[in-house]
Amino acid sequence: MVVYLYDGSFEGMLTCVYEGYYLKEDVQGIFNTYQYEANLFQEARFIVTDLEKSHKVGLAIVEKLSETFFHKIVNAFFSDDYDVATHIYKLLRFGFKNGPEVIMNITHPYVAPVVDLANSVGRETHLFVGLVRFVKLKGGIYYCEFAPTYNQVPLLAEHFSHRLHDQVWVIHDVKRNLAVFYDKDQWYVNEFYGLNDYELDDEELLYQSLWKTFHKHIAIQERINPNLQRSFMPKKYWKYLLEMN
Amino acid sequence: MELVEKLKILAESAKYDVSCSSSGSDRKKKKGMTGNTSLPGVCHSWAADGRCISLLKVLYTNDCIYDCAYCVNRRSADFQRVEFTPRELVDITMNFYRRNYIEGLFISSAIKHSPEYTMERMIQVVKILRLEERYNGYIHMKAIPGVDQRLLDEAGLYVDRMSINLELPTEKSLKLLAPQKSQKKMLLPMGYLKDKLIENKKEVKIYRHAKPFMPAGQTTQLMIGATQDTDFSIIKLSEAMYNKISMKRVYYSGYVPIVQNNSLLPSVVKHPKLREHRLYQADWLLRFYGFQADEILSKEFPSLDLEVDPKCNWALKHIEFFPIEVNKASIEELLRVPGIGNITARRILQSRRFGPVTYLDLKKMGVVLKRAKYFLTCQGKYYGEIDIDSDKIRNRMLFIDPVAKKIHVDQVNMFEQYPTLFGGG
Repeated sequence: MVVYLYDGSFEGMLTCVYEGYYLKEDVQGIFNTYQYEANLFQEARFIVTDLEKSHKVGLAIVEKLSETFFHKIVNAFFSDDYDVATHIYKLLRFGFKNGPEVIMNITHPYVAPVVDLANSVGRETHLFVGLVRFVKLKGGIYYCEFAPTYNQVPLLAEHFSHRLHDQVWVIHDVKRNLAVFYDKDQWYVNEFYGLNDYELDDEELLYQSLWKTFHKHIAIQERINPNLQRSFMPKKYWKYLLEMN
Repeated sequence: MELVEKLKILAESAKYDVSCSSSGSDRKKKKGMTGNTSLPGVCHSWAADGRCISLLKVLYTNDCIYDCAYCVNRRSADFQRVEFTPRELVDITMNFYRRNYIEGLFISSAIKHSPEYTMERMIQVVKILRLEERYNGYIHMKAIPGVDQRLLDEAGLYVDRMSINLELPTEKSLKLLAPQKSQKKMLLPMGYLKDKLIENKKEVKIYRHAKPFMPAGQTTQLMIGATQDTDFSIIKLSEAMYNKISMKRVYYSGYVPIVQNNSLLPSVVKHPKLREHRLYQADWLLRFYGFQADEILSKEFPSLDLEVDPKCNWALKHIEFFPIEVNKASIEELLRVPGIGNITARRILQSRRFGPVTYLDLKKMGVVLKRAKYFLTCQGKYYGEIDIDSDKIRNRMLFIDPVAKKIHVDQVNMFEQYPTLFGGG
């Protein structure tokens, strides 16, 4: 009984998949080493991340399986679920053996866990494409704090590097101490513990109050329905939503 | 006057316009420009009434020469009239957009001085946005009926979507409540825009530099409950809009009794939320489920059933088609089953390639079994627990199943303010 541990990165997980194939071992599970709870009956082995190996696996997924397959796996991975890497490993073995269309067999026990996680993460990503709120700081940097359920920082980067490609911005996940930085050209993800000291742009408070005013007065009084509002925009996200404070 | 105050007034005047979707346009980022558009649209917030906020929805001015009985901004109403300057509106839009508050601008207006005057002002705003601020995001403009075609041509080059509100389904109702408007005056520009869109589609294919004209098409809005018009006449009209003018969406707006003491208007006590909701359900059947308006309602039964949704209603009336075997049915047949939607139907078809679908699988795939179980068999077995009989099923749905009962008593709006999720636009 052997389990592999990886350093928490996507590349690390793919390296484990590579080793599982290469060493022909009966791998029982792959876990994030920071989450893993040791188990008497399992031999745990840490696999050092190797970018070349992980790249090979990534390429194999896209070429031999499909892009949809790859996207599902990426999305599921960022759920930070305890078992997600194990699920992905099983699905990949199943997929490489049976072909790319297995991803459509959504009730299959190897496919369902990954697809379900991927869908949950994708739903939240879409929500945050709308719910991210930037604050303009002195010096012109747009800064956003939020606390998503899943690890959304790497997934949102792509969208905002297109949408707001002509401004400098930072999206900071307060829960995971992770942030993506964009400098009008490229984005990169890094550990980040927040700004100690910053000043707001001179006009920032004006636009904040304009937005709050707009948000308040666009509602039709005769059909106020807080339950409906909450079902679309769950309360757990309100803390970092300007208009709800 | 302070900007905050102005925005407050002009947002309040605009809020009865339902349309707020930002879908239908797929424009990539461009060098030197700000923003892009997203094909399925994005909701950025939800207001206290549960409606999504996607666009900055405001009037350019609320100063109106018309006197439509149902409208907050009618000439005879006594309240403050304000007007944005183009610069103010542009600054708000750009700053909101850069902070990711909004997906774009929805600009509408009351008619000040003349339709031409108003339309020119609105075009000025979008031109500054596009040409000076190099704004590449979404813009929805409300066109003013009765303006010169030249203005429609010009506006179409800068906006993603244009809409003209039909407001009332019949000429008679219009005469009664909005004597200065006529249906012909509104249908004319709609037809014109449709022709322009077709023409432009061809041009874009042939010429590399042809500019896209209103890539997200046009929509319209109907008001519900202010007149005696039946649901049947409303969905017939919507069907014609979809088929003949290739309208992207028809919105339904339950009439809010904003105007008191007018003998022309009904003294509505309650907002017709449920009726509005049922109309949206019927609308979805027309657009995504392959239904015809005549299948949903008829001259003899011109009103939608408020207790059960239109699809259930159809199924109960045509109980002879059921039960359907999920492992054999075609997609068209599956779409007729209450509780099975487009995504679920496709999932069932996909899943069948790998083996028979079991009853347990159905739930995982998203079938709403509390409605669907009466109308299908799975691997030959019927799970409805009662006879396949319209009255029995209906009674069971309404009175025995507590969840269904609750839904039918106080169900409110789920779909109409969230077009993007359901693939609308």
